Amino acid sequence: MTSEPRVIDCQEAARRLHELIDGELTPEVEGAVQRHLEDCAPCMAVYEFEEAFLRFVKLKAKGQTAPGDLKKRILGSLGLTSNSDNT
Amino acid sequence: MASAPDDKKETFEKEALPYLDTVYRVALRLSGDSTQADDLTQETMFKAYRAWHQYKQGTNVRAWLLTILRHTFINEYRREKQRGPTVDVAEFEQFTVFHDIQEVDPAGRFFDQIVDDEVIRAIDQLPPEFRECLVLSDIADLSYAEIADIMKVPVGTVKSRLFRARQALQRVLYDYAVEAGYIKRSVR
Repeated sequence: MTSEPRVIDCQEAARRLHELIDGELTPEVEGAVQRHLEDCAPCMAVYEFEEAFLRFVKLKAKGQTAPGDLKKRILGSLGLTSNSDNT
Repeated sequence: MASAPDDKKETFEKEALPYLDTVYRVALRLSGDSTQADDLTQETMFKAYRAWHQYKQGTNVRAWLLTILRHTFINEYRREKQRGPTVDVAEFEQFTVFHDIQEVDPAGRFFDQIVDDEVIRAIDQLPPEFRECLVLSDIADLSYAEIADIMKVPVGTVKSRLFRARQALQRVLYDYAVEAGYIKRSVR
């Protein structure tokens, strides 16, 4: 006998949105949130907004890279030669 | 056959060096000062290289480097500089600004008009423990468990701080966008 799939309300869905975007939910809860979003247009709209916001923050906050002279100094002090990449 | 020191150099270059920019970005946001960030990054990479034999192959090298960075920052740098005022996270409403803007800009396109420096300034206004969670998640891409391990707090605390940090950041950026004329404040 299989158990009924978990059902959640708008309040719980709202609380779980960031965890869903971050890939931090268990498969069971992730399924429940996704099912809720498919059936609830207002929650889906919030989800899409939050996802766009987090994408925006990550993009803007990752714009800086270590200065070239700092990289050279570190490589030199460690006796290394290669170039680091841009992560 | 490569000698042991050559092997150390090779594996460090291949596995740790690619995260130099991530270490620098996190150092910059923790310290809020480019000179300190330079020193912190250099010291972190130096300590990591010296302790490379302690790194467990196959584990997350980024999280390992950031653990060294955080220890170094807390022990040697944190008290050196007084940062500017921070926002009171508790003061912010704990829900999305979506409800404010859904009539005029439901996709949040106004965010795209905000420049990088303004986002960085808003992140720097978060209280340290909230800023740290956000930086380790959204700049360093660590999981909640990895952040909890680095900060020595329960995963639930990471989850709650991260959520509140993001909502506060969203609200600060929304207020900035209203002031800059990128979006009209709606009356709820």
